Amino acid sequence: MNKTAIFLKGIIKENPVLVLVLGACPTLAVTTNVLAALYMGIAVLAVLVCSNLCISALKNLIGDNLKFVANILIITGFVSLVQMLMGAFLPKASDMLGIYFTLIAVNGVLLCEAGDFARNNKVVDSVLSALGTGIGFTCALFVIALVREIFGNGTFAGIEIPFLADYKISLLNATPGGFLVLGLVMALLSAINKKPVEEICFENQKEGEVNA
Amino acid sequence: MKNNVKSVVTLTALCVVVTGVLAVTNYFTAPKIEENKKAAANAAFVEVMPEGTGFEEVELPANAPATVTNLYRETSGQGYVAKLVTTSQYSSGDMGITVGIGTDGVIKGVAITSYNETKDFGDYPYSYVGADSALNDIDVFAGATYSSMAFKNAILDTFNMLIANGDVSEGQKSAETLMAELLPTVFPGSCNGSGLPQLVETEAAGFTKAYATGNDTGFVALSESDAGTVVSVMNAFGAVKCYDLEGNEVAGPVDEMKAAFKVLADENKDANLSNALKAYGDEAAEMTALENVPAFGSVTGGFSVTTEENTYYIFNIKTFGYMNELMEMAVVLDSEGKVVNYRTVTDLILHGEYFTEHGLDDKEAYLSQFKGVDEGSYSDETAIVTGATFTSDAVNDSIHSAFDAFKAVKEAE
Repeated sequence: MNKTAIFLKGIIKENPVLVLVLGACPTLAVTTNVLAALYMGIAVLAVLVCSNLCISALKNLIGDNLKFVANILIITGFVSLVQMLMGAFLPKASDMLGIYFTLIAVNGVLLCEAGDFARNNKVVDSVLSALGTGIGFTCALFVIALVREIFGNGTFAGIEIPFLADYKISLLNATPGGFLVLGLVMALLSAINKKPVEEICFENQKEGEVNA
Repeated sequence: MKNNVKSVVTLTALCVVVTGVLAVTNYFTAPKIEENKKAAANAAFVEVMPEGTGFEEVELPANAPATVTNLYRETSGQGYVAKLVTTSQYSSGDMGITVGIGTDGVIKGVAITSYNETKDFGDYPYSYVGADSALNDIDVFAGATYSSMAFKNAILDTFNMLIANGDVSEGQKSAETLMAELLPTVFPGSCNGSGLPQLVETEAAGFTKAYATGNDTGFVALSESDAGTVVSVMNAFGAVKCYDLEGNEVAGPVDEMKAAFKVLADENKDANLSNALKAYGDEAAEMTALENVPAFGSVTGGFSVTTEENTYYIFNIKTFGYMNELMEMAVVLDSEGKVVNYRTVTDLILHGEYFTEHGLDDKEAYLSQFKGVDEGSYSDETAIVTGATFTSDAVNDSIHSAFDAFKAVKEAE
């Protein structure tokens, strides 16, 4: 794969939320508000890039039998670091994300990137992949949050929208509504990809086997 | 084996590095995070005491009224923040208020934390910011609903508690404030159902302040004499009474009151005549205007008609109904003081759309209940319209005002 393909794969073809269906917990939790979704996306992007960089750089020093421990150590380290910085300099974002930010330490998006990609690729490729995946994650969250907040709450980033505020679809604010929107956006993306989600997953899997 | 050793050493080193980085970050961010947390916790208090730096809850004093639920002290001694809960007679739920009062006795801020009334409360609560316990600058003549009464009482309760304990200083009441407190007793016809005077300021030479009542029942004026400030009231019959600020009747500018307001009073009298004739039921009847009747209820004028069999007294009345809107009625009494007719000029149920379920099925039947009653046999229960408290209160006020005026006429005779 060339560098552009590595960067782009996480955005559409292997979008972590919409194709790989990873990180559903933060996706459903923070997408009732556009701002919260953006904060979460950017925070995850930062942790992804830093942890991929470290894991890829250290991959030859740590054997396979200890890789999982090392990955978790690096990811939780960065999550704690970002959480402290956010608490100090972006208290509003920290309040909005609450426990869900801490939970990304065991988030599938990060573990998948770290374990599958960073350990098997060069540092530059790993950082590119992390950037792509992070941007893909942020975009997916933003789109879902846009639909849920505007139609579910009649607001955009907390600012009331005159007409829609009177016709809220409160289901969208609740968890079932979150699944509904997630499903609809997934359907939209597979229409763009012109393939059902399972097929893309299957292809990705085959590609992975070939690479291995 | 060699690889395992390398892994373990790297992992150990990694642990040390991660711990070190986190420790350093924590060292720099922890105080800032603590500060942010404190600011967030204080945000609710700072809203009502902008210069406050820290707040701690203190135990409620023994004299705390039921409305005060929590009391907080500003840690640098700037004042107190009190959380209040009050129920207004007309609200579907409790009204939550947070108020910050400085040690100088001035309200630093007010926040409404919960309010369930369907009608908008407006900016009224925020007009209290900057006032002291005397509430001198508060427009007590406007915005008078059950909610604002409940709000005002809750604030005064808090002041009384803090002043009694020496926590904050007491404000000095102005002459206008003392006058407003006096009027429900000396001139109930100038006040709405909640006891708040409804006055419109007018020009009149020789007085410090002069007002006409919002319901045409008369005039109120403040003037200075050697003995101090005098509150003078004049009703629609041209009768004048004067009081000092403690409510004791004193000699005052009676002639000046009559001279200043005679023209206005006469104008009102003319408007009353046609209503009185309709209530009496014979538009050709010869009516004599009643004058100098010392009754200070909601009567805007009165007439007498003498026929061969009887003498009838017709009193025009204007009271404040829902949302302070005027309700106008006329009561006809015979020489015994029995109600002969009760006629409403305005709608009996104001804002019918708000009271959809409280409409009167048969207005005539409702009004006919009053026929034949006199002061001795009348019961306030008669006027009750379930759910329409303002209407019921206004009707009761009108009947009592008519009886009072009748009594005053009879005593003069």
